[in-house]
Amino acid sequence: MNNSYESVMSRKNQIMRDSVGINYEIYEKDNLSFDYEGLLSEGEFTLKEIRKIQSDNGVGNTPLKECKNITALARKFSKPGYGARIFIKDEALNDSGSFKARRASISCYQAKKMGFKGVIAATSGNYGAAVASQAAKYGLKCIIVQECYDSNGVGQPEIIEKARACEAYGAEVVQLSVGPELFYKFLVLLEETGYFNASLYTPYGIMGIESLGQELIEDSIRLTGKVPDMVVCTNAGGGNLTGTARGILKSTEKKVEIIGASVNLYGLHMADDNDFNKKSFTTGHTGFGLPFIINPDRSDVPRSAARSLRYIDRYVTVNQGEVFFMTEALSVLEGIERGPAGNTSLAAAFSLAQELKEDQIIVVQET
Amino acid sequence: MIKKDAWVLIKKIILKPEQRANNLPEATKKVPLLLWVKGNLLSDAEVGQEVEVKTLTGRIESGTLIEVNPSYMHNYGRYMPEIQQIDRILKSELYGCDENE
Repeated sequence: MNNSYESVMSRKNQIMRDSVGINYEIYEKDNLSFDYEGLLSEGEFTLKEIRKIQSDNGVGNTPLKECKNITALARKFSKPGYGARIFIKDEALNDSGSFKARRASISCYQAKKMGFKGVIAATSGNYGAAVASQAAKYGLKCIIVQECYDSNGVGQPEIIEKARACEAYGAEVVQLSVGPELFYKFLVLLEETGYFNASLYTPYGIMGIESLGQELIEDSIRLTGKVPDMVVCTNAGGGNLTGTARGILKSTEKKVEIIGASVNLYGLHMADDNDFNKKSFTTGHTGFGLPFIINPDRSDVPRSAARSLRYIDRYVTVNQGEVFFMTEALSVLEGIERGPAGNTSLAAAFSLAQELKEDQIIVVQET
Repeated sequence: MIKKDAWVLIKKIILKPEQRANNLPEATKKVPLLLWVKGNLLSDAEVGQEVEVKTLTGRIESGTLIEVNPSYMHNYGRYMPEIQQIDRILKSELYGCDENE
């Protein structure tokens, strides 16, 4: 088979269709629109079933924690009577250490159910560890494809650390230098192995997050007697925000303001060999956030199930230094060492809390 | 001599500069797309030779042998003294100045 760049890219649609087992064409309505809710009903999972699959596999039921000292600090900079109570959903306590386990859990469950022998995901961050961990539980083979090094072989330590975690869970890790042609190698591997495409952007990658939205509503009611006023989601490809918002909408009729927050990486090109190691964040930044909010279908499936514009009320940015500052605050004021990527929304929440009254609730939906 | 079946890291060029996508920034366009993967060596070889390996999922990949028993030696860089400043700001704002304690 011809594996030149052009030839593989021309086989893209067939490879994707074979590797996710979803016929996207049936959801197309015309050139402009498609049946989004139809796509999101693939696999016919109920939210209750999703939560059962997750709780059986080390995922979900993470604690919601009040950051009392960070709230007190925010109130020092607020008008009198302002400074909402800040809570964090401590998603780092999922198996594999992040909320991404929720997304991986449904993809791996589905891959096993459909009889695939293995799963592949193209990811440089926590999602790789999440897929590798869930694949281990189901006895699935696993390949994680990372953009890891610049052309001089200088790697980002967080990505290398994630490769180590993936290998610890028994996955094969394929590492590439900088460039969007990672997608080309991803397609070659899908075709070569016949494995399941555990993309972040299939309906399964989104359904898995709905449980997070539902849990944080339940947690908030249990701890405060109230539904949160505002939920802040770190936004990159849009799946985290989309799934969380869908879960919230399925759990309460009260209006919850959904905020997307990204690290502003203005001036750094995503595909530039020189800029690669100037980024301190591998995700949660505008390099993904902006292009994906404008065109979600630039992802690795024909129609992305992550569509943040359907759910987002407001989009805010913070800079890298602000996130590191709040990462340090979470550590020395609350005794919780997390992030930094998940603390993008905490940095935003520290500022947003000052717009809300003291009796209001703001939830940072992952750590 | 590295023996057959040894656990090794290989590196290869998967796209030469002229084979790469045509919408790349200048710095990326002029360098090849590289791949690193680990596997068990299929025959005796020396570091620097072109070899074939069998990866964890049983795939065969070829490339230049660069390391035997590849290790994780990554670190998080030099200490940033600014972090102490952050801690001082946070604690003095919240708990007041304790310079004399």
